[in-house]
Amino acid sequence: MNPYESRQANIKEVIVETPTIRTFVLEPKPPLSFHAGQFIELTAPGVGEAPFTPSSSPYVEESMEVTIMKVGRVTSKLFDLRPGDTLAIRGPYGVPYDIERYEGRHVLIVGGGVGLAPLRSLFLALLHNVSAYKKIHLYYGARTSKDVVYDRMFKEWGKIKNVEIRRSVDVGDKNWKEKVGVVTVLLDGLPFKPKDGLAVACGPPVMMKFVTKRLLELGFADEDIYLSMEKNMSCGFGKCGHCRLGELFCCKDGPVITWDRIKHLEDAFV
Amino acid sequence: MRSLFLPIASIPEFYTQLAKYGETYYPRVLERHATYEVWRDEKIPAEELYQALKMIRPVEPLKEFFLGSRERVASFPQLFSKQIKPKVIVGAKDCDIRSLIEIQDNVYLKGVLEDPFYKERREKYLVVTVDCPEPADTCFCLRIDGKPYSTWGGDLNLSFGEEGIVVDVLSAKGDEIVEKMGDVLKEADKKEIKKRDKHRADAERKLAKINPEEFVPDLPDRIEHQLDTGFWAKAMANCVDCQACERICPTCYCFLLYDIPVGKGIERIKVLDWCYHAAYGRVGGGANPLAHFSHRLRNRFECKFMAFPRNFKVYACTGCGRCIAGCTGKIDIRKVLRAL
Repeated sequence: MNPYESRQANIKEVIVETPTIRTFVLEPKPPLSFHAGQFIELTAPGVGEAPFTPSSSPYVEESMEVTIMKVGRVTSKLFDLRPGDTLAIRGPYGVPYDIERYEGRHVLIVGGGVGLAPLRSLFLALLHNVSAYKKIHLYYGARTSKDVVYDRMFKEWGKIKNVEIRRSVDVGDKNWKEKVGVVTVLLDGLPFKPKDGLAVACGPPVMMKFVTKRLLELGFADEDIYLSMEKNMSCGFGKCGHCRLGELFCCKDGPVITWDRIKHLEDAFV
Repeated sequence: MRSLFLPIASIPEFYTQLAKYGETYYPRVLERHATYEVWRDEKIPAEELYQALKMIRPVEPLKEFFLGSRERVASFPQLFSKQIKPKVIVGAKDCDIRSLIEIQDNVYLKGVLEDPFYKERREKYLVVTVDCPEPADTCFCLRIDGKPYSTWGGDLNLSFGEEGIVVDVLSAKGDEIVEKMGDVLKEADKKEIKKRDKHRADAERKLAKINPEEFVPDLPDRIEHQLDTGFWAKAMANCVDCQACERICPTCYCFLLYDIPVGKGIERIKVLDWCYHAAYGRVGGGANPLAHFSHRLRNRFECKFMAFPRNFKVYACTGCGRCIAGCTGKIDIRKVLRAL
């Protein structure tokens, strides 16, 4: 087996989430199965590869959704692509969420911006067996109401028994009727005791830093704070060295890493 | 372990016999340094070849053969295949063979997936290690659990006896090769081995004299807690960011993948990468955890002397001294480690 080799993935659909975020519905051939928390390397033809975590349910095998924000060379090229175009994909890589540990507990999911994408995959995996958890709390923060991803789905998710949803935007406007403030404001008045639950966070480094700080203040145990530590993962399988974080490699030991494993590092969120 | 004897006059024939196995690289002195060259049955005096074997490690690290600085690793959408032919590398020292076995093998053969090209080279390439009787001022293998001679890891080892070379057979592959050499090698007598052992003890003494101090045993903890960017900036004040130390390091293993368009498809290229590069840690959008040079300097030490020993129980350094010899700013890694 050649781990550097990609397989083909046709673009079935492109969904515009926000002006800078799109969801690509891909059909890898042969299908590429994954577990929530694992990531893939996607090739923009002629430009290069970048790592992304699928945003769709791992229980759907025939297609995969990847929600991407346009930030650099690879993502800019991806945004030029249309349904029917072909991409190259390899993976999955990384360690999945150990969701069997979540059973019988409150699961707090905290997403910031496009950081909700990988969390959506976890959320959908949890919904598959929603009664196994005390309650799923999906808290999401975006910069403005225009930057909110998956807006069309939140209404449906909010109707699910056993799911609590909170959302905020950093800067409010007349159309926004929910909380205003950075995502940590959503953690005020938590409806469960931290020792009865765990927290999973993904977002920009500065958001992760302050969410972690707040979660610790609230009393979450170090090993119950799951963080997406996505560095420059070039190879995806722990060889190329770029994503090293202390003794760990984000690609093979993560990308989801619990706080107890990285809290000794001074610069974990840089 | 079987020990054989190779007369100095037979070194050219020994190389010719090795070349039957595969393209053979041997050490040759070029401007006072040993460097690898391909053996083409040249009429080089045996004494010249003998003296080259006695030099310290060749300029090129052994990883050059096993990783290559740039190689094609995949293509898309067309299928990719690559043929790797056997090679023989003569002249690696203990510091080099340990860089393969203790460092590169841990990276490329272990973990979640193995690198198929590295693995095939490790299986097909024959490594002939050589004792290091005249350590240089830059050598410090003795302080990183190494020796100026090799007793394991390669396929054959050449050491210096009374009147010629003692050849130790270290692997089944090595045994197979010497079996086919006919009269080139004889059984080594005790006198040769006794002299070899004396040369080895002398070399160890020289190394101990060059490096009288041991490194502290808690280097990983000291590096972990040395977060003062001022320390790294001061320790590496003369660094001009030429990256020579990383390019010639036998243990640096990082690489980068990039794609080049070829026809309607792509070819995926793997190039060795260096963590001193400003863009080494940069992610899409421009965020860079190693944006500052002092962070990158620390990162190199953290990788070699903190992360690697914690993961694999060995430092990602074998004391070869190439980084000291090659440093434009005359920075001595030993002094930086001792200042921690």
